[in-house]
Amino acid sequence: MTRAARSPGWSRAWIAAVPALWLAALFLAPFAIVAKLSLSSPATAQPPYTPVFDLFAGLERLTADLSALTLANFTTVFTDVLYVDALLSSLRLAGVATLVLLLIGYPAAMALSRLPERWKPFGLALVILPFWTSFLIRIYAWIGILRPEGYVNGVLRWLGLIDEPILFLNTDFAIVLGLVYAYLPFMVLPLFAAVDRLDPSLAEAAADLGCPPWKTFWLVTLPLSLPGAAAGALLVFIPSLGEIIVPDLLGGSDTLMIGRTLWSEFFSNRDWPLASALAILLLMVLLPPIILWRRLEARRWSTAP
Amino acid sequence: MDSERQFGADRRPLAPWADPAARPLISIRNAERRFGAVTAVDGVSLDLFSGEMFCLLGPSGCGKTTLLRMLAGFEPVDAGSILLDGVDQGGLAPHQRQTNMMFQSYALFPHLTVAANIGFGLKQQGLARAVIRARVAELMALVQIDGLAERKPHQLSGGQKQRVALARALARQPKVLLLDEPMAALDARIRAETQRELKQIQHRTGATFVVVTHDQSEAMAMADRIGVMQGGRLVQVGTPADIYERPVSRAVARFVGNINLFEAVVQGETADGLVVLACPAIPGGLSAARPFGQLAPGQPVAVAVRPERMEVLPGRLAQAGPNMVHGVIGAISYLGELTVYSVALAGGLPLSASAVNDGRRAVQGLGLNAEVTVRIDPGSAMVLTA
Repeated sequence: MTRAARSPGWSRAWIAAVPALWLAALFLAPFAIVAKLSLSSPATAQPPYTPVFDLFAGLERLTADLSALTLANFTTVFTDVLYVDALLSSLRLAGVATLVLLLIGYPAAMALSRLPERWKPFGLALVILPFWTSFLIRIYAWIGILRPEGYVNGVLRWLGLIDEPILFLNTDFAIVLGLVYAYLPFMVLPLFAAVDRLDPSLAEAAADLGCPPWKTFWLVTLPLSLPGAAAGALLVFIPSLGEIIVPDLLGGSDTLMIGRTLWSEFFSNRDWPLASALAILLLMVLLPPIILWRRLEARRWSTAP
Repeated sequence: MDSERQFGADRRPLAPWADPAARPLISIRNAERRFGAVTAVDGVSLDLFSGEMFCLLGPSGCGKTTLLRMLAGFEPVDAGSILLDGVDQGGLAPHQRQTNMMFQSYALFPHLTVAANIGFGLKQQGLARAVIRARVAELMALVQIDGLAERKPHQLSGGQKQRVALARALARQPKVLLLDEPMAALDARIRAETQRELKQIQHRTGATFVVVTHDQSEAMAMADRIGVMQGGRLVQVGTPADIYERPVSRAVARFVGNINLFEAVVQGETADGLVVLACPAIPGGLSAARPFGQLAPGQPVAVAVRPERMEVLPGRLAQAGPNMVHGVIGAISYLGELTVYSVALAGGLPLSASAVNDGRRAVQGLGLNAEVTVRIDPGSAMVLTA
């Protein structure tokens, strides 16, 4: 703190400028382009939308272009049941996946944190290991496992538990399974970081004061690792909501997920403006939980010892 | 008998451990705890009595904290058993035991207020909210932290945290309170005061306290009895006076208080119960109090003498007989109530002797490099066979 205060002003400005420029170039500028696209109209042209701003065509042309901007895409998005349904079903599937991930993530993170110190890096490496194989291939592999002639049905049939294959593939179950499988490390790692930080004597103190293990978890471990759980939940919920590959490969043709709808509007229908409006909508849905989390974090840091 | 002390004479029988009819509250029988190849607690047997303050004393790594954690249920008993009120604690998880622990790190719940921390254990007992509130207020008054109820642990000083931890551990009125290095994180300045308070609180609650400490002066100041642990074994159990005056081994003697140790060989006994020894460091020979065990002539032993049981006399006394030895003062430490002289003996052996500065003894001829004669009180010289 004191060192930063003593250093010359320009170097501090520099330090602040680098991330600011980064954000401007890689987030704000693309966002502005998408926002403008969402207010445009589709056209059979190259690029496939109007108006196309030309800053050198004079003020008159620019005002005409500006007045050509329209909210029609947002009207479509909010009135067409297809998009609202896609969004709601995405929220539902991503929400369920996030809950399942929390349920799996906590025991996994706590087990990792209880490993002897020299085994922890090995355990963490196992969590990260799937990243060494392509995401696409790993999701694709689930088709082989889940399809009617796949391994799961094969084993179940061999055990004599079923006569007809169970339809796993192309169901919501398969999507949630795929999301859970794909994003598990993003849940486990922040949870591990939060749980591993806790003084083990806190859990011992709770047990000493009469808490059976589940109550120790509920009253001590969970509240104290909540920031990690929030971070993990956001890290898996946000990409799950916009996920394309998992619903595309495991969900079948009639599954509605907003990411996939967006993709097909963009590439199949070449309706860039509508796809952009969907992207903006998705962002609006994600903003509240992110802001909430930031608030919680800020409060935590201001009261932390 | 100097091992009987006056503490708590008003409300407790003196020295229940000396009474063969007394029923122990806790019986530890040949308890053992192994970590891989290391035996952290090695065949410890110990009876603890209701209302006593027992200090487990030993260097770090001696197994004292492991033994404490076995009492709390955090460490399993690999062999042997631990009985509380005659009931084997073997199958009981920590939350099922009637012990409570005050952790060295205090382990206060950082997300809960002081009041919620103290009331945590009461809430688990399913007590009514009003009952908990009243009991928490009572406990806060007991440990003198009134007014801090709504603070969070990070808003407390080290001393206040320690009090909250103590109150929380006392809340369920445990039969046995286990304290792991309760003073370790406190300033030396407030430590003595806190030791006194802890002792008072123990008297008022009537609970049995088992305190783990590595600080012998702390153990001496607080304990009714001390158990000295070394290398996983309980090497001596006794009152502070027992431990100080009659250590069972060189190691115990060295660990508790300051001591001078001389290697010696038994020669015989006098009629009045003293042992006569040949001692290379003391050419005139040495006589010392008889220990409890048998001694054989020719047996090698150690003689231990506390610095305050030696007298430093100026000059080389000509008739340096038994228990007298010549030397030169190598260093003088003035400690206020005491002055400690480091005396180099003729053979080069160092020896430390202290004298009470009671004002009368205007010490003449006891300057640095002064020739002195040190006299050892035969009754205070201890013969150690181990």
